[in-house]
Amino acid sequence: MTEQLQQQARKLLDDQEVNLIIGYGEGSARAVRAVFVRSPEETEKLILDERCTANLAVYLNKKEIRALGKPAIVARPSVQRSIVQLAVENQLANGDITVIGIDDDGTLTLFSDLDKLGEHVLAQAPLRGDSPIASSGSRSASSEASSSGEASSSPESSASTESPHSPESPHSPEMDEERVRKLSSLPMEERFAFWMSEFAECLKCYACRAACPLCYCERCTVDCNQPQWVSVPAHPLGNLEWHVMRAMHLAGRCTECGACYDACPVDIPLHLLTQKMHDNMEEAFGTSSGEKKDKPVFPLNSFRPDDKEDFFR
Amino acid sequence: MIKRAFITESSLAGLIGQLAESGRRVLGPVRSGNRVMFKEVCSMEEVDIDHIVTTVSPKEALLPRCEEIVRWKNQGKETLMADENNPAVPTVVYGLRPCDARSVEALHAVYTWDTDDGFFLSKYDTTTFITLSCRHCDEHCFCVATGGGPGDTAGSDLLLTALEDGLYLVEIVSEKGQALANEYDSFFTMAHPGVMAGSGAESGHGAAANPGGATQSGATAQSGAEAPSGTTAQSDAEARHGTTAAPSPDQIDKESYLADVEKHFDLDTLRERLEKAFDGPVWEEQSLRCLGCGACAFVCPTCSCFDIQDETYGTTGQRLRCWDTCGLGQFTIHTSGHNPRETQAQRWRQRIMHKFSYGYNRLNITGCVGCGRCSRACPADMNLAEHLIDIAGAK
Repeated sequence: MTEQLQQQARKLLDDQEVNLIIGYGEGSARAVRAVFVRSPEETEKLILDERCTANLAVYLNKKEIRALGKPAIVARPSVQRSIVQLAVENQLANGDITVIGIDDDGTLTLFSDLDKLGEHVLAQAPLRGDSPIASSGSRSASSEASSSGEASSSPESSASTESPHSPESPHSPEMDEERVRKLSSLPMEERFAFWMSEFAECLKCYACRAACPLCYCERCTVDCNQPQWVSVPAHPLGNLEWHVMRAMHLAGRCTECGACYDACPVDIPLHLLTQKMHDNMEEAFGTSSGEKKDKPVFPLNSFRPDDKEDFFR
Repeated sequence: MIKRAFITESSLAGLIGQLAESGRRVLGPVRSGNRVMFKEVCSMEEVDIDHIVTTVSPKEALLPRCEEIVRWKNQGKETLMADENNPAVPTVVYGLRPCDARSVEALHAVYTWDTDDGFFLSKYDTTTFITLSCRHCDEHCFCVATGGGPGDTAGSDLLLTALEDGLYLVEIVSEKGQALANEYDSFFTMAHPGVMAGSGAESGHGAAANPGGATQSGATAQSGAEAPSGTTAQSDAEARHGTTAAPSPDQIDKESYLADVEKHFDLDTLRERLEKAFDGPVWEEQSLRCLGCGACAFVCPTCSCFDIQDETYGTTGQRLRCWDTCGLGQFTIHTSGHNPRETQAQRWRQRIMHKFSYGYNRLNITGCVGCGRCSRACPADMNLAEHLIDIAGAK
């Protein structure tokens, strides 16, 4: 798999079809990291294995990466979905990038036409039940040696002992779905207590925002301070406002890659919020993000004079 | 010279319990799932021991992620200032690492540099640090290269080193540490308890209950113990120290109990290289994969930058000091819209330069203690030690 990828990458650079390859390379302590390959010789750095789960699509809108020229990007299914969503939202156009698609079965397909990629994504498995590869998060629990993962008995975490805070760091679509199901079944008060105790740990480092390919706004609402819409300090209200806002802004757009959770230094399972929002959106509007359609529907972004709801008319 | 003593595991648990009962705020590492955070604890049972370092540093004891510094009330056209509600609570931080304790010195240097920061100092003056030296390290630890070490005493008030089962060597490093040891002297002993049962429970209770514990003789302690498992512990200790008599605290070879942390780079060489590296290509190369979040700074024990936020609620308001970081693009943005640190490469350079060059030149202190939290937390695998080795090793 790796060899085929390296060959393909080398060819793209040799033919000068692209200026760089955004892919995975060996990182520190058994982790993998993003690498930016700019010469055919460097393609040896590229790797492809079960650890390659980080969503590289986040780099496509980074100013510093864009300055390097046209990229080709190694795209596992979750990355493909993000790219399609970015295209739907007019953040990527045909010709901007080349996609080196790597499907769950290891099949490598090149896409320069993003509509074709959209069709490819639609033909694949639905949003969840992603890949065997995606079952292990890039974040290793190395710092905690062989931790027992036992839930503590402190009052703050009592909610999490019975609710779905998983002890293992790597998350799988199945695990996430189970956790959303469990959370949804709790009474509202308990659900709220669970989230407030999780948000209490939030440092407002915005790693969730930085790791999300779809959080591409040049000025995030929290960074707007004339006036200050959202409370910035990492206190309970500020944290609640941030996480509610983040989830709402991603409702119906999130492609459920889990990058926000993987990025969170304090392990808040905030991806479950967007996942739940996605379920709600699908239920209410029959839409699914990361899928290219003839006419994309953004229920929360669109306005129609004949909308059946009249409260915002 | 630093004074030494012993404390048993159960006496230590007793000490933590009594400290909590005394009305002090006792902060210790508490695990919840994958994160280990400093939380207020009442007993040792809540404390996690199975970690290299906590997820977030203990700096919050001195520098909360947000704290009130002014409050006010509007009355007609007048604004009445009120005392802020930000009192320093007498605190004991237990279970921090030597790297964490060392970071307290770095924070202190910043917050007493040109102005004595009252909010910081009031907490600093009322906080006692009981540090646990490191018997284990991982691939992200690089304390030795930054001038520290797994048994470094800098910044600690008491430093504990786990010896054989259930026994700790105590180093009384500071006056605050001495005061605490004096107040709770019954928990400490100058004599090696010699035979420790596996859990250390029985002998520990003995030491705790004995008000004359500090002067208890080794012979008495030994004769009091009968557990066969204890005999094994005793012979282990004998083998290690090559003596049949129970060793005194001063005879303990602390180093032999510590993690073996290699020295990854030479700090002086790094500083020399940094002096000439400002315009080099290294910053862009290293920072390409950086996502530009604040995870590294917010888990860091020495990052000390803050932002000021005013929050108003009708006619009242408060001014808060909140953590901030040079890694975020907004950190340096001017009201004109101009940003002197426009790219992530410039922001990454600032982070490294501030910690290893500017900070050292101004305060004679290295703004990094090598705890490795930033590298563990980074979603993009920006490995600080690796980057520093790159720079220190460059021609």
